Amino acid sequence: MTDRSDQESTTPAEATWSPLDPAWIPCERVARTIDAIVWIGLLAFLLFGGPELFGWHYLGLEPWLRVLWIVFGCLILTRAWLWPPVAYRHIRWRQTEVGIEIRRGVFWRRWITVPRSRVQHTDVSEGPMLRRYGLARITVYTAGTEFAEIALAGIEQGQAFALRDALIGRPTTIAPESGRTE
Amino acid sequence: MSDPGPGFRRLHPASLVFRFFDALQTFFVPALLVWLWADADHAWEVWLGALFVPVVVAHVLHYVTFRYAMHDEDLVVRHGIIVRRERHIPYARIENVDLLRNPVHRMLGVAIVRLDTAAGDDAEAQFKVLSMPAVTELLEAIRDRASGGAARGAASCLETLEDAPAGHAQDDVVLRASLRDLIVIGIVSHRGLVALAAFVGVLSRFDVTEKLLEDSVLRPLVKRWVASSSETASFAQIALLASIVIVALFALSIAWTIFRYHGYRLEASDGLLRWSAGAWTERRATIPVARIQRLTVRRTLLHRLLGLANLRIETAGARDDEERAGRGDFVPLCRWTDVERLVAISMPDAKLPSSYEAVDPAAHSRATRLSLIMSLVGGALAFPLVGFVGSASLTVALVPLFLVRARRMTRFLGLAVTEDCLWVRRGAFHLAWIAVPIAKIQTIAVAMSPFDQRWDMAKLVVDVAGASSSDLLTVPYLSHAVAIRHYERLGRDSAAIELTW
Repeated sequence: MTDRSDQESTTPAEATWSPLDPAWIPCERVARTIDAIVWIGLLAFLLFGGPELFGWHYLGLEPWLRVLWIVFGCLILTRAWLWPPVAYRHIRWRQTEVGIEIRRGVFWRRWITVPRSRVQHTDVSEGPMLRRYGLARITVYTAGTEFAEIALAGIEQGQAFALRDALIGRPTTIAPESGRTE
Repeated sequence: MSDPGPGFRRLHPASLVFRFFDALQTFFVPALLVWLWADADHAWEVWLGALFVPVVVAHVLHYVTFRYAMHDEDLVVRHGIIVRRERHIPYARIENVDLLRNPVHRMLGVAIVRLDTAAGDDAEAQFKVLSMPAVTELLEAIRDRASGGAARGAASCLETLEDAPAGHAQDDVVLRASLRDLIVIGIVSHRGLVALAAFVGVLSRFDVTEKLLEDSVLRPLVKRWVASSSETASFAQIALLASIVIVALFALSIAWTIFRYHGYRLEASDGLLRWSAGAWTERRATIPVARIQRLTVRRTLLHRLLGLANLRIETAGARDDEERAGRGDFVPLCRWTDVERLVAISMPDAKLPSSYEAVDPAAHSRATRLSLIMSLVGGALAFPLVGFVGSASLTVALVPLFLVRARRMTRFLGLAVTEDCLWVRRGAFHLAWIAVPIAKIQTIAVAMSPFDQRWDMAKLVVDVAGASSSDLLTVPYLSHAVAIRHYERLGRDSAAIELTW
């Protein structure tokens, strides 16, 4: 498997790539662990609580299936811990003279460019988890459909505000590349 | 109702009648189904009719509470009794003005006016219905205070009110449809198939057919036919029935098309397209050329056999539902030789490209491999239903179909960047050529799945306003380097152009 997205050969180094804030890793780990615990709680209720308390009986209670469910639960928990650093290495963003570019995805990769002239408005928000780690989420809205909103969660708050100002505050056109006129 | 203040106007009282029929229309199909499916001893379904009452009440309340006023800066529309909604529509934001009149409207001297802004799927405001003096007043207010397309749209609506419809500027007509054209559209679009499900449903309940034929002339005929066929249905009889059904479906489709596109006319002047069609309700749309976000030329197998094509457009803020005339069926049918002229009119920047850049040379092998896997999966899925012999023969039957599809698809797929426009062509049997002005591109992306990475390919994704997401403009199977090159170039070029709706 070629590891294309880690090379930056395709563009001249006009702007440097920024990773997310490193605090995003513990933040994401905690968020995912909370998610996993909720799921495991639900699973535990279905496997042990329900049958004990209400005398449920269904196919999923076969011993070998129970083992499978427990393995599944462990996997979610492990993934919650191991996945964020991997994902972290595969998310990068930069501000170019065109606008903002985000590259993300470990297996399914996506590079996306939003030209500054196409930004309708931006939002900076912080959920309780992000706020605890001093992080923020910036959402860029365009008039498109599929990519009508593009979110980047896990950058430092001050950086998010700076990015917001940069995306909406400046003159919106850049010099054309090939003598194109409007 | 308390008086909302000076300058507020109400709808024409005939609105109540039209709204009642609207409500009736929504209930017609469910009511018919209930009637067909209900047995005599299960009369409770009839009580479902009670649901009709709140709908009517809602329509009456809408009429009673609806007020509008033409202020200097904006148009104010308010309605609602519990939650009162008041909307201020600045004249400058109005994108499009539509005037709808059917023969009943003409008889009563009323009309429907619809206003759109760039935002939202629905019409921003619908005046259903206004008296003709009120229509004139409203349109004049928009003509005088709005700018650009909306002002010209209002002006052209006013013109049609004054002129006799036939005497309207003939020079501007770009395309019209004769009866023969409509028949061809009916055959090519085979809308009659939509009715097939209903037809089969009715037939399957023979007692219903019996009920319907109770006193008709057809009854003895059908009786005799059924009696003879119940013994031995001969091949000839089945063939006869099948051909009758097919002919009936095409007839239905043709009738539907004639009804819908009667008097189809497309006019162009001053960067404004005027579209109108319809036998009963004349559906009209005024579309500023500058607002067109995307243009699609489509050809099915039948279109290609007959040397025809079909054009659709997308504008911001309008989805091609039934009410939004003139987008999805912008040009329901034209000669293939006319396409260049029509494209030039509706997207002046979009010159048809002379050649397309092909996808990755390995795309064919990749698509072929995928086709083989898909045939095997298709066969395997059918295994529990049809057994080993069945699923094996299904696989064998699917393989050539998928292979031909893969070959045609990868050969045809391509993109071209002309002066100010991105063209994409795609399809295997149904072909499509899609044009997006670079000025209208909102976001550009490349996506690389694990398979793309293995084959060193990438998919280019282009987002524009007004496109439905199911119909996103994507070009798969591009060489990685080519995809990146276009991604960067389109990003730069679209950033260099200020977005204008």
